Amino acid sequence: MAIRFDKREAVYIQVIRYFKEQIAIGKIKSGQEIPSRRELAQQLKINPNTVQRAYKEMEEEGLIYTDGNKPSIITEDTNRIKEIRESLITEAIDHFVERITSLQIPKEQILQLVQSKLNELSKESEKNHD
Amino acid sequence: MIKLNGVEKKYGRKSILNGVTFEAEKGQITCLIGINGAGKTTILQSIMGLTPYKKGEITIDGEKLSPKVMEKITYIPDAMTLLPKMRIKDAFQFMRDFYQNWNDERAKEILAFFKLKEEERISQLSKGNTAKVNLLMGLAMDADYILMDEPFSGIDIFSREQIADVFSSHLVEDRGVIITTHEISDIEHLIDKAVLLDNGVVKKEFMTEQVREDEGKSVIDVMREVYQG
Amino acid sequence: MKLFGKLVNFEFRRFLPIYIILLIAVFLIQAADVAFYAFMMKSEITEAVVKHGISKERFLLDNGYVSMSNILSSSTFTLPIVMAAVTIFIYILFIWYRDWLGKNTFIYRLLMLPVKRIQLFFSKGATILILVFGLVAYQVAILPALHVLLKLIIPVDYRADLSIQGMIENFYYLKFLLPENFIDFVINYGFGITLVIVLFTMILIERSYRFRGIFMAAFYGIGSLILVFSPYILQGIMKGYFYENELLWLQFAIAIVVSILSVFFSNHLLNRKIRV
Repeated sequence: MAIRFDKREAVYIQVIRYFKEQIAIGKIKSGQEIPSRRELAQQLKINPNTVQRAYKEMEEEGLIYTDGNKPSIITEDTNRIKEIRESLITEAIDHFVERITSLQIPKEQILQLVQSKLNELSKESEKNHD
Repeated sequence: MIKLNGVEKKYGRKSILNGVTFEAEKGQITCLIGINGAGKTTILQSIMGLTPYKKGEITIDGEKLSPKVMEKITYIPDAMTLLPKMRIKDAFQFMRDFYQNWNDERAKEILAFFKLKEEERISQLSKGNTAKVNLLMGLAMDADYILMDEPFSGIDIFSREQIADVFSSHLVEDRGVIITTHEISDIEHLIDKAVLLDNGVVKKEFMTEQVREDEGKSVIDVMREVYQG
Repeated sequence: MKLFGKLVNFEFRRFLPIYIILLIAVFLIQAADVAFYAFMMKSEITEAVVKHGISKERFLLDNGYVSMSNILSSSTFTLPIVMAAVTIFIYILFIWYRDWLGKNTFIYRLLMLPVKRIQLFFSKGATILILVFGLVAYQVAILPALHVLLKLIIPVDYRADLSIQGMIENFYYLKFLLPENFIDFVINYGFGITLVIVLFTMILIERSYRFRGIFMAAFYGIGSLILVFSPYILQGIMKGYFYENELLWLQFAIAIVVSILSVFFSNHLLNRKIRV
């Protein structure tokens, strides 16, 4: 596990985003145990208090839950996971749209460019598979 | 909590500290940042009663320094404090003899963590290993507060990484740490609080996560504003 | 208290290598001196009695008996013990300064030990005292051994043997360190301890105030000296008003006061003024 941290953004927010991404792409499965705050702090070389804060926030958002003294677990609520996935997609698209509209490109051209880019990427990945 | 209130110190006519005020909480890592000569070492020495200060007050959990309070706090200076002719195991024996709160198990654990051997003689340690042994002597104490003076200065990158790893480990857990440095990049994400010093004055005291979250600034951004702006 | 014992033990062991060398040197030089003297006397006896046929009685009348008392007052015999004493005296300074010197600043560790800092002062003082007593005891202990050496070389007829007390009597420096009556013992060591305490205080003044401290320490030392000798100054002014004995006791009382004040002052310096 490694994160390239942005030094200008709160570290705990970056940790939460990292977990969401990993959940969204299925690298971390629902019901899976997450590392203790100490373990994660050691792995990421960050302050344990920061991990604590991230976990607390994740718990409040229903991303993880803790049962007594056992290690925290990723939520098994599939709706919640779907929501996370969707929110990440929305976020990425919002980000993209914001940037691209500022360049004042016609809608058709944007779609066309995106289409060709995606085709190119899939061709490349096919090539890599061979 | 270690609390400094208006601490002043002069050396001859030169003032070293001009009313230093800040707090360091238990369970947090507080970092004193400043160029050489800003007064960082003097602050730590003043807390430990290793150098006199003129005005102001220093308290540890509300109490002034005494042999009893001394057991709550351990200081790791940037020089080795044990005799060069000692082997590491002799140094352990010395600590065991004199400190009730010396934790032998932890000492051995840290020794293994740093990949050092008990048979090694202090005078023959490399610079990096000297820093590690130095750190060990402080960390192995069951003390609530740890003061570290420039643990990263003048040592190789791998030793620096190993030492930085200590900060996120259980070796520091729930203790209060005050660390001084002039080089923040090794530990930017490890500290809770930064205290920026200049010419014996606290220019700014802030929680690092808060500055990143509220203002979108890195620790170095804030330093740039304070020292150059 | 347990920690105090450990501190003394620690301080003593730090000087032990040098101490052992000193003790061995004392024995070797003194033994060599005894042997040299004994062989010289033996050859004189041989020369006179065997070669020239001089009678034993005549020889003893001219030369006296061969005895330890002749050696004990010789300068070569006293030199090593004086050297050892001087070394210990120098160590009174070094026992402090060694903690500040060098790359490894041990003074940090000492000052951070969970003991009252004045205990460092007392532990170092006790160490000096142990070193001095040890040296005296050692000297007394090796005297019989040296005597045996003499006995091995010189036949009994030409010898006047001394008891240990007799040897101490004849040994000026030892007599000073091990006086016959208890009062003298108390007085000698009382002044000795005062000297150590004042020197320690002077060192701490210098260590606290550094450059300025040199002058302050000198002032403190000279002041203490004048105080302790003030009865004699008084005697000069009063033109012999006091008995010699009274003067000594007056001095002794002042020395005690100076010692106590010095300890309090040192305590203050160690707690409030010392710098690493």
